[in-house]
Amino acid sequence: MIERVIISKGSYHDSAFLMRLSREISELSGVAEAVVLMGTEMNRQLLADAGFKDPELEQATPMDLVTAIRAEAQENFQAAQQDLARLLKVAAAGVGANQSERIYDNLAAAMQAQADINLVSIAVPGQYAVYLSDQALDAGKHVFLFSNNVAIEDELRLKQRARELGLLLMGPDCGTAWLAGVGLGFANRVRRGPIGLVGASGTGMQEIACRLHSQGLGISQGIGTGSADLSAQVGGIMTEAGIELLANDDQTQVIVLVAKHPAPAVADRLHQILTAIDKPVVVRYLGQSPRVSVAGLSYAADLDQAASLAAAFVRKKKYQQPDITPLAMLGTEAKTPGRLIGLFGGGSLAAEAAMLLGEAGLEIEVPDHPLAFDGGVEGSAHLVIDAGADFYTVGKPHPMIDQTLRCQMIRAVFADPKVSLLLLDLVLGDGAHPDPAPELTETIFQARQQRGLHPLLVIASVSGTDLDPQDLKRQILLLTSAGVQVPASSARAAKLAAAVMTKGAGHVA
Amino acid sequence: MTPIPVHRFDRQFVEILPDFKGRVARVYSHAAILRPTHQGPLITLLPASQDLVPYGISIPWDLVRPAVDQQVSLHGRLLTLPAGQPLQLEGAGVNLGIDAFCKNLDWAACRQELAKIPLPIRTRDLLDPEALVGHGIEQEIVRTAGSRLRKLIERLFGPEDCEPFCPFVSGLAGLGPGSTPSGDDLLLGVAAAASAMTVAGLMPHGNLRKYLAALEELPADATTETGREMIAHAVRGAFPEPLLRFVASLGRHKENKSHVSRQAARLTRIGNHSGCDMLAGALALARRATSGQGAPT
Repeated sequence: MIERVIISKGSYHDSAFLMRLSREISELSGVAEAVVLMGTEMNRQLLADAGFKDPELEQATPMDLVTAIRAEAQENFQAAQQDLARLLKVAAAGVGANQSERIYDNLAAAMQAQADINLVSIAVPGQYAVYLSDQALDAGKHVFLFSNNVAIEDELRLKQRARELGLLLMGPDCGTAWLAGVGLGFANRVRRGPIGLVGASGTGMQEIACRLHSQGLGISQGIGTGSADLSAQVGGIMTEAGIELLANDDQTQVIVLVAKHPAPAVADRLHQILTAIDKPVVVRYLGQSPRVSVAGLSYAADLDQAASLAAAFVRKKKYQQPDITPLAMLGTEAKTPGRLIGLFGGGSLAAEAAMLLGEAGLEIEVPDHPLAFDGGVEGSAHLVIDAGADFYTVGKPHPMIDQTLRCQMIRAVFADPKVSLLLLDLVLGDGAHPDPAPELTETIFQARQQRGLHPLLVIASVSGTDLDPQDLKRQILLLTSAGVQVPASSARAAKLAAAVMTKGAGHVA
Repeated sequence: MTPIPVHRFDRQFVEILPDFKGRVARVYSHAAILRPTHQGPLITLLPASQDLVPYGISIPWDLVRPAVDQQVSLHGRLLTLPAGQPLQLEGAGVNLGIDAFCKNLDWAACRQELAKIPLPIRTRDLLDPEALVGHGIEQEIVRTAGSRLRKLIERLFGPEDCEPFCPFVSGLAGLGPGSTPSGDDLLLGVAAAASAMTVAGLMPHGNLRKYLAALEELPADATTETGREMIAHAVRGAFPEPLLRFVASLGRHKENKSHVSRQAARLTRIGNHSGCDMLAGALALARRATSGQGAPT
């Protein structure tokens, strides 16, 4: 192993850039560890104590950037050195890494230079996002507002304004959309087709889009509304706007609405609106039992059913509940009593899983505070954990992008002899981790070796398509090679987990 | 040109009215740092609605965008950058002194509120470094910082004539990642909470004085430029707005039970992890101050 430091004299950057540098260099092939620090005396001492005896370290001052790299071989270190030089040069020049990108000083300059753009995507901290959203709406542009931490009063005002102007304001906290075949945010590559999506749940929309794609269908548009759109305060403004657009869109034959926790009065109002639409509509409110369906408006019991109902409407076939088939043998894992732990990358699929597990008779807790994962999983109940919750992700990348936290949690689960089933989700697509399965399976493999003879069944769902950059088949193959059971959907994975915990040799629906 | 009025700025500009001449030294996505030509403090320009920091001015960022090496002057209340309208500081500004935020607060029984705050993992690791898993450099930094934080807190509640503060302070200054290193943020958090708790009689006054003196005596090269500036402001009792609000909320918990958690969450949103680190420092001090152990006589 080579332990070297690179001193970049007078190179002073903000903390976000330093963290990005650390991460990018850490991910290079052959780099075991990389950390970027300023050259203060304490940091030099710390690095020396950590084994970095490079005499270059003594030359660093608090105004200098110190990049400490632990690499497997000299060529890996040199590659890291070149990558660092490139990133610092890019930062100094203020140019995007992709040469076809243009960087402007501000939004106004960008909109002036590129007058034909019709959508602005905003991903800045919440307190600046409102100002930029106003600017974009002023200029007649639709807005994809990825930012969160926007006050509800501002969200309401912006959406009312967008409605008046006939524009979309998708967000805040909108992670996913597809417009005219272009995915925004975290989006799977799905074929175009006749089903239009509107959603306050990005991952929910992704799961439905993937299920439809797997059935040979596609989506016309996917309009994200932001997670709070169906709250009492906001009242479903963008949901209603999205539904109107899809109702009047010639490419859309069926509309699917997916959201989490709608305010009852808002859900009632939307029900009236949806029943008046000429096209078939399917609704899935995540984590809740479905309402009673009426002609032309179907409330689905889970995301699988939502996709299947939409497909049935398009194909003009009667929807049929899938046959229940016996469960295949689960390999060498024998059922044992114990805890179920669900580790999810986001709240939507976590909520669905918790509901489905609860319906099967399991008492599930969904913690609202960060748990300790040292040497085991605290508590004794079955848990469904949203690893993307704010209290886990402050100052860290989201688990859909970076698996460090979830791998740490997985190791703790395996170290806990009372846990007998681990339920996971992987979400593929643009914006997500470029290749999640290898790191996950390596973690599972190492953790199993440490665990020894106590059996632990791992069930994982993979939300993705054959067009996604991560190669869906390869991800599933890697997982199954590691002994992970991979049912066809997130809902099936939860149902399988429920069956194993409650019935042993259970059933797949 | 007609100056643009700005109303959110550190009140020290009005009270002290420094004449400043210098240049834009650095521009980040959310701040610009102005360095004086001759000796003097740095000034931070921030986009509007960003929380203030000591010697900070919130400006309409899109209208008056600073660029590196621009010459800047602040004369009286008029801030001038080239190629843009000048800015006029109007009103009294914002008082970022700890005294202003912590007057007439009720500190009794806030210990229960401290236990209820949902903590980010980083803050929790700093407060309980023995529980941290893993031995990479980043984990070692948190372990070292957390352990030294604990020793600093114990020293703050020890007898006044015990060992000097300098080693405790210099063991944290400049430690860890960030343009303001983690250790500096811990020191800030401790200073803010200690100042407030001393006013409330929950901490020995003499120890606070010695702690602040040790901060002031830190060598210039102990930490980064921005770290040094923030520590200098802390010695004078001025802190970033979210830190002040969080510390003040501890004494106001009876008014609004969710206020403490909300202010903690707001604090954690500063920077990459600066807020989490400041929260750890403030919480470590506040927990000890309200633990009922008191200072030995």
